[in-house]
Amino acid sequence: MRADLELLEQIDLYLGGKMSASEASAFKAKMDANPELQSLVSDQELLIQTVNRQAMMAELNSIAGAAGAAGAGAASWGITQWALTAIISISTVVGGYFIYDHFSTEEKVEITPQDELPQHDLLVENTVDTGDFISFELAEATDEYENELNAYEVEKEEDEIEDIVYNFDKPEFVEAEKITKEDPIKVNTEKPLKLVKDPVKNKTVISNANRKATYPGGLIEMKTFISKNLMYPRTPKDKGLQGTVKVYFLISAEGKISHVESDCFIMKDKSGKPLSSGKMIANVKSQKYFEKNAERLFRTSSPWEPATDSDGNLIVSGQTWYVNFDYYGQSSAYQLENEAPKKSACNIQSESDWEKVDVQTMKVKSQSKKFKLIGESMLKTNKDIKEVADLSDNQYKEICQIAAKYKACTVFIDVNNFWGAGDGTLYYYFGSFND
Amino acid sequence: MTDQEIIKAIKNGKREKALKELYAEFPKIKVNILSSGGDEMIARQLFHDSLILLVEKVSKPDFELTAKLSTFLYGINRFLWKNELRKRQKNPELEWKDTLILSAEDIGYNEEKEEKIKLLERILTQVTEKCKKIFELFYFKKESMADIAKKLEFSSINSAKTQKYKCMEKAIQLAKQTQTNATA
Repeated sequence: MRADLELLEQIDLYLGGKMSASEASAFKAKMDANPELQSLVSDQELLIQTVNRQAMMAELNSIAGAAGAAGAGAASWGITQWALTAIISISTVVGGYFIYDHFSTEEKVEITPQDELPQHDLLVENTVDTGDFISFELAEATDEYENELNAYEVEKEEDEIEDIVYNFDKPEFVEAEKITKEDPIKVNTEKPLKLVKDPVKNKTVISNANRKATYPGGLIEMKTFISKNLMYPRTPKDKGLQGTVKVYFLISAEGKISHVESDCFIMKDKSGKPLSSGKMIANVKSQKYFEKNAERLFRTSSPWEPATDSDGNLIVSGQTWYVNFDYYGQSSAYQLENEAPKKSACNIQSESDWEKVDVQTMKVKSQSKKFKLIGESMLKTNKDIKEVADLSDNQYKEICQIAAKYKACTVFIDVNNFWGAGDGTLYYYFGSFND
Repeated sequence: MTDQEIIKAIKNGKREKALKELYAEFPKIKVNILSSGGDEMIARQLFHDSLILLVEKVSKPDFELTAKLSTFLYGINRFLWKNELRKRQKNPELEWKDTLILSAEDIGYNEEKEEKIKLLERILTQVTEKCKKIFELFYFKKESMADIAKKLEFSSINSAKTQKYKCMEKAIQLAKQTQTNATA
């Protein structure tokens, strides 16, 4: 019989004497009429009794000291035989930590990552979290660690280029036509810009990847790496603050980590109460320290094993991780699977937009669409890019990843190398069409 | 601590203090057992077993104190020692001062039940540490599910509850299987 949770809970209440007199007598009557229920109740009662005896025996032995624990002779009815076991198992629990991954094959009752994952406040309820989860103890920062951290500045990799993102005070929509008109490139050529859009290629982007990028050696090695390279920064520790940092980064087809970005989106005090926005501002230094720590952790974890597509080719991919600094004990790093970058800039949504744009004139056919420029970035290339087809798959995907990061649906690339001055730098602009 | 304080502590899951208090009775009980053919080891063992039975008895909602707790404890101990001697094929008269003469029923001792508990003890070694920890915190330490969820890093009270019942279900199921195998 598969007992349902509610029933087991009721039995708990009944056995714990937490039912009112009328509830208890009703339950008793139900039990008398149902032998199956009766046996379930007695099973549960016995199990609870056993749990309690084990725990109590451990307690007694600790009171009695080592002399008591040594008593394992002719037991009258066996309790003492498992006293030692109980002590050992309890101490294991206290000192233990857990790694959960997808490969557990034990017969024991498993605690799945779904049950385990700390769900932070900003997540939608009922999120199915099946991403990776690592839990670890964080030591307080040593002098050496703090010095290193303070000296740490993001050293841009040679091929890592900063994205320029335009922050408009007010949402400002520029008509596609206007952009092209004002664009200096327009003066030089008939077709200066091309919209990156290829529905066929869309199908090969990250969502179909057979394997996601991983730290070499998987979660176990990653845990070791984190234990060695992450400590609890002093500034927030001294103030009794805990926090969770969201870290986003790209893993190139060569495994190199780039475009690392972090956001310590929530901080809590010792009691676990989230800081008000005012207090967040007052503790911006702690916030920055959390971010710097998490960011540095992932940046220095480079290189990773790159992701592969459905054909097994190495591809660029993006990942989002959360690093949770827990003031008291088990800090953790985890992923939410539903945040895996499944959609790229060139996603299906933009397909309809594309249909509405006249490639020759860059005019929006319907006139109801306006283009919002979100930002620009560039890419080192070793050959001239004359059209979208000249982009390698990885270049294509990288551009899409960057655009996706800023929630841009459409990308224009500067195919005539107007800005690049012939040094193999490809500029591109990303944005969205809005109604 | 008065008897009532000890009982209250036990009922509230704060056993440690109560047990320490009751442990002070050990030397006297030990003398009784040593004087009737027992040794230090069996004395301690029986004493621990008695304390467990006492706590179980006291924890019951319908428990009523009819004698001093220490007297009750002596009574349980006397019963267990007699039981042990019977197993050893001896039956000396036990002359303990201030001792209640208790029956198996009085102290909730039942040979068949003890067998079952032994079985369940083995079962508990087959569930995960996390399961054991949940059981221990909930049933023994009497902590709230909210605290347990926080302590063991569950995402919510509900997922801790779910896990607890999964563990419970699994343990009962394992026990049933073992029993069936044993009788088959």
